[in-house]
Amino acid sequence: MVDRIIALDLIITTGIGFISAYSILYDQPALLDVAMILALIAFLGTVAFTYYIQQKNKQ
Amino acid sequence: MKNKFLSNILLTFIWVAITGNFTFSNFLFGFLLSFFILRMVTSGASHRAKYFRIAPKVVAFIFFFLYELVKANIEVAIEVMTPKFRMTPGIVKFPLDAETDLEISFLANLISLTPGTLSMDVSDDRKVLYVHSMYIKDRESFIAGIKNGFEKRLLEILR
Amino acid sequence: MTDIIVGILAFLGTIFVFLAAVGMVRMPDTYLRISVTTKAATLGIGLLLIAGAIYSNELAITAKILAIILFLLLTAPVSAHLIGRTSYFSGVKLWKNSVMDDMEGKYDTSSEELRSGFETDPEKSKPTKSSG
Repeated sequence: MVDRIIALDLIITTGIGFISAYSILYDQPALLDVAMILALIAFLGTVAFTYYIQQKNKQ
Repeated sequence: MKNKFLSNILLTFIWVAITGNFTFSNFLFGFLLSFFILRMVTSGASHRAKYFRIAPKVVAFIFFFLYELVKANIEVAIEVMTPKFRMTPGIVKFPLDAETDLEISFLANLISLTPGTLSMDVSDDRKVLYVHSMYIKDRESFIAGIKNGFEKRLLEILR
Repeated sequence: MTDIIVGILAFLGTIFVFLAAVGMVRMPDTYLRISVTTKAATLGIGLLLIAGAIYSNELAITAKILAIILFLLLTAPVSAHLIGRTSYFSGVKLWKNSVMDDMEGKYDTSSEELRSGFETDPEKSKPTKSSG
């Protein structure tokens, strides 16, 4: 279960890398806004999932 | 300290507005120029003001952190690429010198950011940080490595 | 000239992200996976974004990219710390070749308290501090 959360984190981080590579390749710097929002939001998913696991452990 | 920093920023903006060249390198050059001018202008006891001692140390710390980051990255990359595992992982108890919330959180984040080491948790009485690391030769040398590297430099800046 | 630098930086960044993905598969336990994965967030993505900043030589884009790197550096350790902490407390085992586990038995599951081991003998913490 925990390994999947790490994989999700890695997928989102790789997504940021994809977007930046795409913006270099097709010369569209406007796409970097998407990368910024992803970088800000990405860790919220991890926080939510870990909170869920902690609550599950308590029971 | 705060005063000096704000006047430094103000002088930078004046420099950029006068030269009329809004590029990143010009901002940087203006900042360095106004830093040295402020340092020359302030005299006497305020010559040893905290700001002028700390500012070079912050820059040195950033470069030290980047060096550690690249070094640890290459170590971990070699570990991943070679077929045999040569690592000796484990969880080490690291006694903290840092006391306030800010110092502890900075130290824990810096330890987590370098690959290979991961800060697990701080004990409830805030005396100990548990660190998971990939390469532990023995406990004393690992603790001394972090204490003389990250923690000493960080406390020099924050205190 | 800039094309060559951009190419080299983007190549190195991609290599580091790729090695993080390989390490994700190869590493034997959860904690080592977390350690390997933080590398993708810091150096790999950082190099890719810096390549983008050099490619489009503008102040607005450089500032945006510096902001992205700052956000990544702020958020990556938070999530790594949370995952590591939760997985230890939910009972994920360490790798069998691990050298030491100082945290073993320090966590009280009923009161959810993490002890430091220094409570009973406060003088004992002094020599370890001065030796560092």
